Amino acid sequence: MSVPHPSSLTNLAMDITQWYAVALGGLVVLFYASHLIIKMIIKISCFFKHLFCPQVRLSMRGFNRCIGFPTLRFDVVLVVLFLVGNAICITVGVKDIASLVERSALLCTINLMPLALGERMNPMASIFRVRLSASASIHGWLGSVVIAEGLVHIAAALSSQHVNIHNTSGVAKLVVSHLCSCNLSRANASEGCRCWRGPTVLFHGICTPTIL
Amino acid sequence: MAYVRRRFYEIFQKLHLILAATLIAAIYLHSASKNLLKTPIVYLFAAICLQIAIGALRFVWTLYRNIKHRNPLNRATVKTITYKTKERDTPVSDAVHVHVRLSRPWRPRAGQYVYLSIPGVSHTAFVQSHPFFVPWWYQDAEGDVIVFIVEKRKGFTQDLFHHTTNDVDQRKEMRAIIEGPYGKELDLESYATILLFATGIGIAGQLPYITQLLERYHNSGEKNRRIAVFWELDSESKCSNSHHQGFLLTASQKVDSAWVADMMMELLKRDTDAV
Repeated sequence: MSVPHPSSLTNLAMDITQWYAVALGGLVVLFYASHLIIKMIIKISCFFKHLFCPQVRLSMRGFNRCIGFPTLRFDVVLVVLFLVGNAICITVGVKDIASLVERSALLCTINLMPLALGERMNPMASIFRVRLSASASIHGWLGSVVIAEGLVHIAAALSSQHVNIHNTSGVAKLVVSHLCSCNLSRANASEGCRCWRGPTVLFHGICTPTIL
Repeated sequence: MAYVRRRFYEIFQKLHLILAATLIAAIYLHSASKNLLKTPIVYLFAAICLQIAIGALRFVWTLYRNIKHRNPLNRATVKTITYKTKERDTPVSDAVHVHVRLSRPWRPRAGQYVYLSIPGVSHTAFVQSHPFFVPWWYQDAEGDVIVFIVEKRKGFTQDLFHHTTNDVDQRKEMRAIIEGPYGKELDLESYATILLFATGIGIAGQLPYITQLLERYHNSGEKNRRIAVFWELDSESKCSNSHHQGFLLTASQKVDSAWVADMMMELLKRDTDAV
């Protein structure tokens, strides 16, 4: 019986982004199964009802509409797990700018998958009996993180290399950066996160001319 | 930006989808590897597949809901609401009833809403669909009809007012596309006293609960139940809170109460025990 070479085992092992993709899938499943989960845990003990079901109201200005109400503590836990997961993935094992560029791009692309579920939220929300407001707010969070990671990717790439707009890849970079910064400005301006509006609009203003 | 979003919501929504698709295309062009089964393209591929799957689900569901053999599409009629007094009938200027004759019968539940599209209303109406609760439904000789209360705003709801009719006029019927129903019903069965609150047009979401609760009240043996409806209208002069042995509205003399007056009278008839 042949023994696999250690290098091939290393290739087969999942890296942190792949683990993140699996965990993100788990979070999405957890969200869509939340109706069932909450029903089950309430049956198990009333303590869990008080742990997961209260509606959360953050008093910080500008954050209310960011999270979206009515929001259960359960949804907030999911959002926090998602943010922590992203923070860990974008920092752990990143040694230089090149790996940051790669990691942020990969995370941005992974997060696009659940974001695609938000094209029309009503069917999914109705099938799984989840709250539409929670779907909308989680879609908003996903979008914001995708944009933020896209911007990190652009900023890191800009700091390490020049973008050539005379080839397709350069033009694509330009389009992506423009859409990202434009979307972030739009999201924050419209979702009521007023404290972010100024910096993001400013960033949008600076980002495109810089690349050009 | 928020102003543009509010003012041109339909354009904004479509633009958002187009920009999202552009973003995916740009990321594909931007990525070094084009192998479909390797990262990061495999993630993009999964995102596109999810979008296509949800789009296909919606399309099939809408086809099923709207198309039936020999009954190609739902038909909508926009009817003027009249405020009836002993002296005269006054047409209500800020809302209409849209009666949609269903090509495929289905029974709406409380808490459900549908997306309604009536392409004949205006030149741009074919790309518009708006969510409405189904406040009530009825059957006539030709089949099932669901009724929407539409308050006059801008755009689609304003255009509806150009197609109003009082009579049963076949020429005034328009094709209607219904997507849904969506939304979940709250389980109120376990409560002995139920308080329902509504502001303005929000009464459309509460009426099906009253209908269902009354039905269950009569069908089940459990008779110790109280239902109270509090309905507040926007204007101070029209404002009223109602709570009288159940859901009798003191606002029934007010013009805006004509939105639901007929249905309320019907419910009062069914409420034989003054729940």
